[in-house]
Amino acid sequence: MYAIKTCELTKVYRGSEKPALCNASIQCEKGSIFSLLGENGAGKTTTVKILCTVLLPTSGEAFVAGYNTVEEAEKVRQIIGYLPQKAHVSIFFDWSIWDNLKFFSAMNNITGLTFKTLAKTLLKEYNLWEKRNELFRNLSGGMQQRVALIRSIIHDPDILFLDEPTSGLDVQARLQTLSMVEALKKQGKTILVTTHQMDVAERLSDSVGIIRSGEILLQTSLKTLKEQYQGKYSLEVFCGSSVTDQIVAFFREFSSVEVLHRCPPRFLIWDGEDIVKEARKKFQTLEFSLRSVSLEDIYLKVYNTVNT
Amino acid sequence: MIHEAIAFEVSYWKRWKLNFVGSYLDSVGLLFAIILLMKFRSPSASITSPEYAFFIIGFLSSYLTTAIFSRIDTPKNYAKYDIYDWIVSSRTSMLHVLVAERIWVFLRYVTPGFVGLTVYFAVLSVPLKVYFICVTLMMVGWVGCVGFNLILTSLGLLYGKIEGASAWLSLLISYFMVGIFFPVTMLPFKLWVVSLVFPATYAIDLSRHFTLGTELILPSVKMEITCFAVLVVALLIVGLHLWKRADKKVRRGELQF
Repeated sequence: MYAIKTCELTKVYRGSEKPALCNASIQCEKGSIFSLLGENGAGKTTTVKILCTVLLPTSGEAFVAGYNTVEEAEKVRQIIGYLPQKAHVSIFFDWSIWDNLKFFSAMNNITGLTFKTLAKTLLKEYNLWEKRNELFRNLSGGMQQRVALIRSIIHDPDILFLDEPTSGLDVQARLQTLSMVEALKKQGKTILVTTHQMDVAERLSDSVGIIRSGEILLQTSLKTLKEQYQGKYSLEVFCGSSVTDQIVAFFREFSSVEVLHRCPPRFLIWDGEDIVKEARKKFQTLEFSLRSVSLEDIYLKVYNTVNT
Repeated sequence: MIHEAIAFEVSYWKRWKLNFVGSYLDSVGLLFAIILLMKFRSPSASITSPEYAFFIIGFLSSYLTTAIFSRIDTPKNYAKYDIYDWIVSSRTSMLHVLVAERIWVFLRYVTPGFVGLTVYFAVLSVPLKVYFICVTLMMVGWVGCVGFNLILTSLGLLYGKIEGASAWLSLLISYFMVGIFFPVTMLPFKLWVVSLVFPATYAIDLSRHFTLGTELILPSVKMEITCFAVLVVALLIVGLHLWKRADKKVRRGELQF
């Protein structure tokens, strides 16, 4: 049984002709991290909100730990933790960390001594114990995000929904958040992460889904994807926009090259070495970067495949 | 729900300590100010004279039923802080939170209400039995006010934008419509009919009847108690039904706060 599953999920907002989600089906195995990738407005947040029982789907079904999110919403709410998008603004700014945690924990029936014990453990674990009496507004972005994450996990949920947990964070704060998520996975939690940051997804995920305009374009495990693209390379060309067309035209002549992005030019290449040698001869002043295929390259390929 | 109510109270105390103390004292202060005004009007009257007793019992009863604190903008306040979605996804529900807020208001305003009423009933030498009847009436009135508040909140979500002004307007209207300052029978007929939908009207009227022997707004005690009970149950049922509809509308994503 999947921990998270959606079947042909469709959501059309009132007054909008275009569906925000269109027959979206995803599955996430228990104890794994699933990343839902897509650009802004692709339908990631809508999917998470339906799974968190915040929104009702127009059609289709969603299940969390086997519970239907519409008919068994109360049961779903007992076992999930939700980190909303821009979580740092969904906390009372003029309250201290402690007061915020106390208030929100009460909403999850964590009070009294239980709250004190759990809050103390988590705040110490995430290096916030000394700051517990500071006002939320005075914390750095990374600390605010950590507090928001603690708020989402203090009741020890089995399944976590993290809506863009690292967006808008600096490098350090991002790394801290990522290590928190990895630690949660080690505890056996099932986590669904939405992001448009490919490096985040690549570091965290066991499996990924790519969503565009409400449609799931691809869903597979990261391991399978990497196996599929083994022996292929990504070639990036650092050049001005004036020569972009020339470069794209040059690489298009090779059957073992696929254009991933036009400007700046990026290509998916089989038998990379020879082609790059030839390109370097023709465009001597330009810089080429050949590396193994990343999730970002695969994301671009999937998007392009749909476009064509 | 008690957890959430206590959380409200604790957080309120932490945020606005002065305001918090003030909220416990404002009812006492307001009562004192009005008694002073009445004293100017009729200097020879004592605190136990009927006109004083009529007003004081009405005023304290309204606090106990929290009739004058029907707010309809709570969901909007949560949406303002972007925590509406979070609350919906948590182990509690927005319904719990709304009722908890009523409990919170009750805890806050009822404390001075109870103290004031107990002291005043001692001054009037009201029998203990009547005291408990009055307290029961006010508690039931509070339950009715929870239903009333749910109806207002749900209607606000279902049929209109919830603005602070309309929220406070409902508060102001209820203040003059439940018979705190004058008997509701003094209202024009149409307004008198409207006053009958407020549970506090019955709680206040019956309390006055049992303590001071004033005339009832309905022909008999039995009829008024029956109407009161039916109204409280009806308000709760209608409130819950409308809330379910409003909640569904929010969850369909049809409401932009």
